[in-house]
Amino acid sequence: MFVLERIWDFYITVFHTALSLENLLLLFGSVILGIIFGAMPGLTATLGVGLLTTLTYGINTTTAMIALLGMYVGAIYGGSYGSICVNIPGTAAAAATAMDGYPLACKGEAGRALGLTTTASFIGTMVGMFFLAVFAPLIARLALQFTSFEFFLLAFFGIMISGGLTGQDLVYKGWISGLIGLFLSTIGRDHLQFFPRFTFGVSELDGGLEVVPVLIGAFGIPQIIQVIRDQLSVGEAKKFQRVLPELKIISKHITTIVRSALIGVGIGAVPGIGEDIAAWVSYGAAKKASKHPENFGKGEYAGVISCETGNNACIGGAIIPLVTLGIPGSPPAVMLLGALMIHNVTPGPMLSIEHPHFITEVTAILCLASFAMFVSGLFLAKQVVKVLRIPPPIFMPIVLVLCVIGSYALGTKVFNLYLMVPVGLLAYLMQSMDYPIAPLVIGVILGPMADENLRRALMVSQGSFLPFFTRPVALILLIIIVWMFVSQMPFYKRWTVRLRDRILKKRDLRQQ
Amino acid sequence: MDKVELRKKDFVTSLILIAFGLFMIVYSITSIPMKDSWGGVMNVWYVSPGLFPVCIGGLIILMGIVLCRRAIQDGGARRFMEELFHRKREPSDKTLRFLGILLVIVAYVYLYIPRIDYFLSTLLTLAVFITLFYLDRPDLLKKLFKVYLFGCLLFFVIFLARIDRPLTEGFSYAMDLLVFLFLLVYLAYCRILIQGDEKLERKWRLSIWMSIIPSLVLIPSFKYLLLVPLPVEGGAIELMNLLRYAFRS
Repeated sequence: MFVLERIWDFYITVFHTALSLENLLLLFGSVILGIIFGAMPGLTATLGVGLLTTLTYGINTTTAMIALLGMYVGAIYGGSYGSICVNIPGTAAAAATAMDGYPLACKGEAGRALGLTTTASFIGTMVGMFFLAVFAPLIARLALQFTSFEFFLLAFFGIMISGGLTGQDLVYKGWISGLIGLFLSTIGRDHLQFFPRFTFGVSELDGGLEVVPVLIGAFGIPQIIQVIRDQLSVGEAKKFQRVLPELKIISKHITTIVRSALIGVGIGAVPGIGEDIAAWVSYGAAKKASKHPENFGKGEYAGVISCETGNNACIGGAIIPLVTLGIPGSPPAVMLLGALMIHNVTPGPMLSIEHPHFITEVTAILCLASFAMFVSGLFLAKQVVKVLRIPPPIFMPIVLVLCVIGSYALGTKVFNLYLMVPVGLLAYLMQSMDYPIAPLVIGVILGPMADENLRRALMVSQGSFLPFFTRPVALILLIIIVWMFVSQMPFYKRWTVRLRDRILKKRDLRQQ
Repeated sequence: MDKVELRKKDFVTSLILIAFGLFMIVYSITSIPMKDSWGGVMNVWYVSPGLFPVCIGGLIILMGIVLCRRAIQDGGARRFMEELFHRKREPSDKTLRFLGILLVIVAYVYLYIPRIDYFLSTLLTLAVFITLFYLDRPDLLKKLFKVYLFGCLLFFVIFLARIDRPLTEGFSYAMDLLVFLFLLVYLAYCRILIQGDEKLERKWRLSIWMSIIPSLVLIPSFKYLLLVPLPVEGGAIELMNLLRYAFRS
């Protein structure tokens, strides 16, 4: 009965959205804007969703979600345009696509490559949507059993895992980034006793740091500085005739599609890891499973299909922990979380009680967005590629103005801009030293959840830490967190090396 | 980046992290009630607002120590000490580009937006930002950077010494007018520098268009469609209002 009700809800939302001209225009508009954002090197899906968030605060939640999810889906797909046509990935998520997409374009098959990425992205998004529809309600029900102990550890786990997996240089750089985010979240009056912390008498800081200016600053400013400072230039785009769905080639690679979609959903569901990792892992898996791995990098269809299926399937996966646990699965999902908070929707276990139709609505919008992306991709590819001709020194200053007005427009406070710039510069400095930015932002968002739940949990247990060890889910999370931390310590590494040597020695002795 | 160079930066960062973690702990213990009464509620340590910052501070110190150890192991600390006494670094083209971006952003947010008409602030920022980098010649960048820096310093001094007050008392849009004049002077100087080079002249014209069009699209959209009150609505926005009302009536 519950499942039938959900399916009914899903179709109602799909038809309701599809039959409204206003919604359809918004959907197509945001998808096309997303494709443009994704296609332009230097602009990311995260920034696109963030900037659009600032425009949606005055409209209702469903309409806002149509715009934001349309932008998200479009931008992740749009990244492939730059990869295929000019060998510069529009977004990090499309970096793997360039490996085989550009060689295909050099062979005169740019149209075919774009057809493949369009169809693969469509299938990937639909698979992600399916998993979101099936698993989100189940996880949400399970999460209702969680108490403050689990929520504190879950918030910490989210920061630890995103820090651990996104760190390019050292794992603990990701954790440091997360800890700095947690510190930023403590600024302002605490939510339980309203005591001012780290405000230094500045009354504007009493309410804490607003999420959207922090998000825009952390993702926008470093992007602007990096693109202009490093003089990113775009070459002449490869020409192509028509973009077709290429169903014949797609049907030949159905195993690759299924594998990549599952990888994408799985990686998306892990907090903080984005579409870029999903694409690379899918690409690696496709290469490993291929009978001709030597063809990868020279214009192999499977290479293009795998990454595009993987990165788009990641979208549905990333929304699962967002709506069920309140922990975003990818950087653009962090922006979505910020947007939902503006609309007074608090993602987490209570979401299915406070807004019972929300998950179904999101699923339906995701479904429509993937159709809109497919149609726009097939018919507008040629026009969108023209935006690649705009030089970065012209569009990056416009992005700066958008970042500034976007951060200001939400609370109409100039103080938000005063915060956005230092956060952006901090993020830029951190990025230049190989610190990932996603954990910092996740730290800012999950900080209040960790803080409140830690104190609430200790209040319940009268200061005793014992429930962390006696509650099964809390214990599992604690063990994972401790293991993740200890496994990066030098003594643990020495100990594992010694243990491995000892085992090898024993085996050698036995063999002799 | 070279590994040892990265570790050198990690070494400095680790020291900053340790110091910052210590500050967090000391601040939390001394400024936030750990056990005392606050707002009529008697605190115990485990509900204190200082508990979480103390934990975060402790973890930051721990991570700082781990990072410091790694930086020392990989030779980052040695490189730092060597360079501390023998600095030989010349400012590179990239440094100047970074400084240029920084100047544009900082001036826009901290100097112009809170005081000057939002349309003019945006127009000036876009015009400067685009011409600085789109013309794409290091010698031009250096000269234009100096002119813009000089202008920003001048306005900073005017605002700091409150010279703007008597000016705006006489004519309320005096500062907007001054900023607009500065924009014209900047663009004219830029035009003189590139005179004779057809390619650069074309780029200069495009830069002007690309600063006017987005300003004319974005600002009225936020003001009249999204009904966002802009930070400072001076002469240019007033002109927009007049045009809008004239058009409506």
